[in-house]
Amino acid sequence: MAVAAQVVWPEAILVGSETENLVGRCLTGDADAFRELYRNHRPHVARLVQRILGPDSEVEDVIQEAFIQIHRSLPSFQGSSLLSTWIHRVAVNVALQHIRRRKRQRAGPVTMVAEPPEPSSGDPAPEEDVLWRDRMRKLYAALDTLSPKKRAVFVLHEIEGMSAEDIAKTMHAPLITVRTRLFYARKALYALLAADPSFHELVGGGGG
Amino acid sequence: MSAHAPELRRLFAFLDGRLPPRDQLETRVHLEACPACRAQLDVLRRTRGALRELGERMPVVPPQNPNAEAKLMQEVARRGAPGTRVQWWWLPVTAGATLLLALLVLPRLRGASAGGEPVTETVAPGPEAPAAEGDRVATVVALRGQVEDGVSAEALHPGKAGDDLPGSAVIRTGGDGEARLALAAGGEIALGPATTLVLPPDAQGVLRLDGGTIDVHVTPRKEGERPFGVETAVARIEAIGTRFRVVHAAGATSVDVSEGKVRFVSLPSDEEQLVAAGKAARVDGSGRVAEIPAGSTLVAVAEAPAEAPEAALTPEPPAPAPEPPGEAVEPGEVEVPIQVTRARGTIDGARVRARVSRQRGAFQSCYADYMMRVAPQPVRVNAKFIVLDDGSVGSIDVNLTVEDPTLAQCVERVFRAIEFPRPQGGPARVFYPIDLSP
Repeated sequence: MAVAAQVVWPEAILVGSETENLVGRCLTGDADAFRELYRNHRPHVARLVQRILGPDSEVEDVIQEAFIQIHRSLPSFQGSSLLSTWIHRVAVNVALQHIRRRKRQRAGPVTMVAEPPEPSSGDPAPEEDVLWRDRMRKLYAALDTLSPKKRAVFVLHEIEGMSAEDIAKTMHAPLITVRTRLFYARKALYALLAADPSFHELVGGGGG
Repeated sequence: MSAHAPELRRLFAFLDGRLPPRDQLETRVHLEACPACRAQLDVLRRTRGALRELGERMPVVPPQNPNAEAKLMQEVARRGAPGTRVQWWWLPVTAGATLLLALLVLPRLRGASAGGEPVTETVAPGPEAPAAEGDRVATVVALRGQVEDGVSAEALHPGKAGDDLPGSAVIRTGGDGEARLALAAGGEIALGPATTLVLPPDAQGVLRLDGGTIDVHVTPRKEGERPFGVETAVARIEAIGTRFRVVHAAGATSVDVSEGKVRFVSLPSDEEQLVAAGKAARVDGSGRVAEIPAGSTLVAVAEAPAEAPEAALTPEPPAPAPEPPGEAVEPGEVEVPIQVTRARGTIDGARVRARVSRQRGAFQSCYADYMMRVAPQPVRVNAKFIVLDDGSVGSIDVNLTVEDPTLAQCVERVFRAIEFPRPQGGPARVFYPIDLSP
């Protein structure tokens, strides 16, 4: 039986912020409110998910999954961080879960050339695009050798250009942990990329 | 060929412009004289550039499948309102019920004030100004021999008992030095000789042991709080209420657990292991975690008293802190964190109320749980807590008119999760009564 209860405050403060109202409306099951939340936050969530996963045919599914998780977890949003930070955190976690699942499903060791070919897009791409797409695929194949958490920190910092401080907030991790993960991820990845011929010219040929 | 090639970690920090000005300059000078280092930096810079360019070539916003939104809304509708448990709370917030609730609130507010207890108590800055800027993360309780501390490695000065250490502060003991720290987040750390410890940026953060030995005693962390953590160049140790020793020397980290359990994570390999009381483990640059005989870390501090370093120290507690007035702390299951914070700041009461009131739903959820478990009877919560410089909650004391540790802990968790406005002039004390009734 649901018991009606009340919290009585020293003072009645019942006018919440817009965010709070939106969250509150979502919690009452207001579909329009959740649609609004989705439309406001979808672009950034999609961006984060795509950058973490890379060329993965399931990006769209993972974005959907992230929003379902956001919907499910809304009651635990405590307002101790910005709603957007909290949403991004959920999205990053869902993307990492997807990576872990994918890793488990792939039997055997992951090698740098094991990435499935990218689904073909309609029109033929110029040669330069093909080159970049190839690099992108190689980069993400290399990222598959990292632990999911290191991968996320690396992608958010090196590709998305987020500061370590912002990553710490988003991932709800101590700053020093983010810095350490970033260091080891960079160390491993830079070495791999420097060894790859298609990165070679960018990364500085002769190699000292 | 350079004999002193800057390590990779430093090159990355240089590249990110994160080195302190002096180190940045030092590194630049070194690079000028070291072509091999310059070449390495160049590779790092180009790789970073290539990655950024890759990022820029990805779509700013990935295109959306036209029926994605419809599909999502359908799925969400199928699942119903999120969190049915607290759902009922939000309903009365809408217009009509507001008035009713306000009417209920006002008499109770008067009741509370008539009880002689202020709603929000702020403590005016004391005669002594805060010694350190920024967030106070630990206090030096006692020391012996050569001990230096300061806001950064460049600003070390001889330490003394009572020194308040802000976030990111550094404390270093000499070959004959020892020191004991009380952590704002609860717990104590004894530094052995020749130890360098960097404090976290905030009270809940992770410490960094650059070298030497620390003996840690952490008070239990509450559910939902971050575990206590120490990091070295090769390992991370996470603990939830426990005693252990960490030694970092010659590129390897050892942990020796005497009480409870710690999670020992090798940073190079991500390998992790739970180390229980009576066990010890070690990780070196190879990243491999190996079990070692318990007690073998004691060798590193042979000259220090093996048992309890605190016994050898003469504790010089900081000037008596104005304790929260009122009742003695109940010796229940809840271990009370060591009080190291002196409240002398002021805080904006209205904003405190605003932040707390955002958590209505969470308090309600605690109380709903209590009513289910015990009885639907009114409960008065008297919460006293310290808001630290960074807006987080330091020590907190939750008293209830009923005896129910679970409810008290739940309420405490909610308070701890709140990010309060930053107080002025140091940590501030807040008294916050809440009436819960069916």
